[in-house]
Amino acid sequence: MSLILDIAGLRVSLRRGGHLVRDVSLQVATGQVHGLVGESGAGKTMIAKAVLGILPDAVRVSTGSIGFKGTDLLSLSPRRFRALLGREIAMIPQDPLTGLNPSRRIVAQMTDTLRHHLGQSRGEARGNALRLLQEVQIRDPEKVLDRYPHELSGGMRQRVLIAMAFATEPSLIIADEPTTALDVTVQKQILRLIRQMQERHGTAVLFVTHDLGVVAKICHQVTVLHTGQVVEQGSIDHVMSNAAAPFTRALMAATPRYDQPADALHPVPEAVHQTLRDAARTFDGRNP
Amino acid sequence: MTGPLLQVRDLTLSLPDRSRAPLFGRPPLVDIVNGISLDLAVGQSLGIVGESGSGKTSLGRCLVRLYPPTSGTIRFGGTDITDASEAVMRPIRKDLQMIFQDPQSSLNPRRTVGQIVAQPVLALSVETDRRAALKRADAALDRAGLGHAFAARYPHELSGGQRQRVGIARAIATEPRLIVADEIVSGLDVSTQAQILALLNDLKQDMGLSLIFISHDLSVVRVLADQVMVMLGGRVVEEGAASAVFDHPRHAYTRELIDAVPLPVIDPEWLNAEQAGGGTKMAEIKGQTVLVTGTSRGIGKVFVDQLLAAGAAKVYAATRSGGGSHADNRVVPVKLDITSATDIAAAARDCADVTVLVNNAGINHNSKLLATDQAGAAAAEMETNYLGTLNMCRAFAPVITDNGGGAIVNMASILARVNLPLMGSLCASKAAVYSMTQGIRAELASQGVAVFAVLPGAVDTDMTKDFPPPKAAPADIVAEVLAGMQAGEADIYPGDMAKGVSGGLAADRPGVIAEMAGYV
Amino acid sequence: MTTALLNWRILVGGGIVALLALIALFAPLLAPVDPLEQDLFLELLPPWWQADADPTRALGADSLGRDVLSRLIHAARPALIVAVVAGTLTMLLGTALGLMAGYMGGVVDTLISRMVDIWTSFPAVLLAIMLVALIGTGLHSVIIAIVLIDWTRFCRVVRAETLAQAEMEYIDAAVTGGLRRGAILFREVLPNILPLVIVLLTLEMSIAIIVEAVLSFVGLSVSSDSPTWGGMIAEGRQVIHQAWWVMAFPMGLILIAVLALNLLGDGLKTALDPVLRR
Repeated sequence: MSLILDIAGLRVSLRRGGHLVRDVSLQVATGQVHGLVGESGAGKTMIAKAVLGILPDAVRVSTGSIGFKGTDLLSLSPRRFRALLGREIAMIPQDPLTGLNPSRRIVAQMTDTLRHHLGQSRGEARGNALRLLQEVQIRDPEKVLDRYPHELSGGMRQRVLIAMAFATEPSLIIADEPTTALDVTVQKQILRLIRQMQERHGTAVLFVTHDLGVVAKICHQVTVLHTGQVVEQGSIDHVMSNAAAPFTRALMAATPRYDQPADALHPVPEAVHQTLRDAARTFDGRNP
Repeated sequence: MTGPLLQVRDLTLSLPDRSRAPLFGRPPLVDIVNGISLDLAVGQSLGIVGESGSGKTSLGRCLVRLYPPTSGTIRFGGTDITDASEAVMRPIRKDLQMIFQDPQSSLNPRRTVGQIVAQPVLALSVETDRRAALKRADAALDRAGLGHAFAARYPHELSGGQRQRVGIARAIATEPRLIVADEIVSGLDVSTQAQILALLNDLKQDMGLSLIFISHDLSVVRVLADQVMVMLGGRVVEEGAASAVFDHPRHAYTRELIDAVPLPVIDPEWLNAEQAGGGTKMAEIKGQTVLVTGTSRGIGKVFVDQLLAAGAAKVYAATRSGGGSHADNRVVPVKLDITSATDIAAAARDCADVTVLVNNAGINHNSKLLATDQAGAAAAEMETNYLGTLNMCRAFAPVITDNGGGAIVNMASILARVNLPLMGSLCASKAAVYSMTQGIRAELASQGVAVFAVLPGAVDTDMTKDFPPPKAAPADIVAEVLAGMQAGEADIYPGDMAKGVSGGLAADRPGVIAEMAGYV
Repeated sequence: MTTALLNWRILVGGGIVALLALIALFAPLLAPVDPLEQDLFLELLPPWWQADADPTRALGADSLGRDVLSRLIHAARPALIVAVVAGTLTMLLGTALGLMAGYMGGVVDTLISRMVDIWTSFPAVLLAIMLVALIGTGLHSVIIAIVLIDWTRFCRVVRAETLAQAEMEYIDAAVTGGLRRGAILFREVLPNILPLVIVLLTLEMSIAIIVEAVLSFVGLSVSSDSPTWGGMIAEGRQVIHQAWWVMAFPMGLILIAVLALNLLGDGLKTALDPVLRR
């Protein structure tokens, strides 16, 4: 099991001052799914964007490194980085509708990647696209290839996007809340599919989500974030049954569960948030 | 007061389906909410769960009369508000408030928080003086845990959770008796969500508020609801006390929904576990192309109408003569005798877009098994009921698979499970249909085709004119079949008689058989 | 609002517009000489920085020896009257119809929308010329022509925006909050559309200035003896090879007025949006 992604001391800062991600380190090995959990503003999406090199203009990586199979992505030239992106690092977006170009057929969008990154011919790429759709268990893949995104259901679109992510046999896939927009029954199918594909191809996955339930079902390792800081990190067993950080424990207690009555629900105490906010402030004081 | 605070009977809401609008004229209507009944007592809370397209949001909007219901009745506090005009509604609205889904769009960006919360107070004449109304708004903001200091702020200056608190403050400002809350925590972080849920729980207890809580999230519903209603395709598939529904779901769809919720618990088997309900998947009627056999009369005829009402895109209405016409242009008459191999082959070719096949055609000669003079009748029953249905399945299974999956519905009978001496050979043919249906279900399990067996009791058609009452109305039977299909019940027992017999067979098999043997 | 309102676009655009308005208002006081006074000795006199210039004719004189500067100043009057009056009337008519179509829907919407479709399928300037030719020349005809042609611009945008606002849940909240239909339209929907309408108004005013110029260019606006920017361009065109300034100054002024109005509209758009304003 070799290390695919090795983020060390990553600090993402606003250009006009202030930090969004505060010295985060995490590792993802071959065949592992690493969950990045947190609420809005915790910095989880910023970390994913930093890896993909798509940070907004107002934001930059100020210190730290993002090691990918031994090379620091941050030191690569834009050209070499682009060659890696899509070929070695792929993503599954949150919104299955906006993740696809509405005006192009599925086949065109799928073969683009194959032809561009793998230099396949048109016929070859179509054959491979078909094989990929079969692999993600889409019914009638022949017909789906010639459809437009709006002709597919949300779950089908997400399957297409998963097929596209795995098309180039990447070593790392960044999945940004890939099931948030789906109904629960579809979510389960999609989670199962991501797990199957990832196991079959031995892909490392950085899985961004706000849902501890989803994390429990699909991740091997977890990093819990709050205000851009790592509050808890470890194996899924450790985090689910043995969490040390007050925030992780509070978050678990604040997650409603259909198998527990109402009085089992306890909102996260304000003091827990405040302690972490204070820690962030102290960090900023030390690292202007 | 006596009686429920809110009483809903047979509520149906149909809206125009713009996706199928013709070039000229009105788009066809589709049922968004279909035959909903519910009672809500004072201080009680009802959770409505369902996935997208289940009609839960439309139902909520119907209840506060944002949408006018198409049929049925809504009584609130004893007053019939089904067709009440806005003028009649206004004094009622004080007691009947709503909290909306999207706190971003439900607050007017050009008004201050104070003005927003005071608006219903003034317009519903809870206070007539502006200053008093604003004071009441301040109190409501305090009550909603936001603090009246926020009254001067604008919505865009607030976080998502704070905006939702404004929505709550607006709803409680008139001190209503019932609040309908539609997906009010779906966009919020877990820690904010828990706060909002706790707040609603407090309000419910302190103000004696009744609550209808609509959500796609079963876990969230569990927190607030005493009663739960599970919706699918505009209908209720299961309802009952929250603890009963969540701990012992009866319905396949409810089980599937519950099993799909990822609890924050490690469960290595969860991802691989098959969906509840065995091999049978639910089928959606809306947008399907359906072929129904034997539509010249009886149940078949009713099937055509109800399929159209449920939003079927096209219905091939097969009759032996191929005649007949229908007012709805989605109906295509087909000539099809299911004992004719040529007819079946032609139908499979001509109706190549079928996604749902309803094998309804069948005959009954009231023949006894051992009567030698009725051997021909017995053979004919077998040929039509069993072989005809089998040949239809054989011809259409590949058609349906080619079209991306769908459903096959075989009309058997409760007589498939218990033989009635008066019509022994019919019973045998129906038992064959039932057995064959189970076999086909297994063969098609992995190909996305749901296979349903329908086992109704006596239905009031001319085929059963010799059969003594009680007989169910064909319309009710078909409605239950469609609901059962959408709910994913593999074997559908429509009507009280069928349910009774099937229940009896499970509990006291010899007793039922003895009773049936003596029947007629 | 006060600080945000003063972004540079509003300052520059609004400043120029205000200046033009003041010039129009006080034209008789500001103009150095009578704009109609002819002096054939001064025929096609160049502006002040060129040789042979006359200090009393700072921007030169036209082919009849009339003072270009004075004429420019006086011509600001019809231009601005048309801009303000036609712009406002167009806004009122178009907004009212757009609100009705968007909020009432059904037959009303179909009727108004079809009318807009038919209206916009005619070329606007030709329609204006036809209309003025029909109802006679003069400032009021120009105004009527602009209103009758351009209401569709407001109507379309306001209708679309009303439809978008009607989808918002705060409208539903107003219904459950007991507001009457009329009150919802005027107190909830309209305030959210108003900023857009105001921005459109500045755009419409600049269009009105151009249309007025075009109509006076072809001699269909005010009577030919009172000066207009369009009329001056028409006259200047004939002497363009001897005296470019006769045509260049009114053209430049139209350009500045239109740019200033567009700038003002752009600035107002950000200033009036409570979300962008942040």
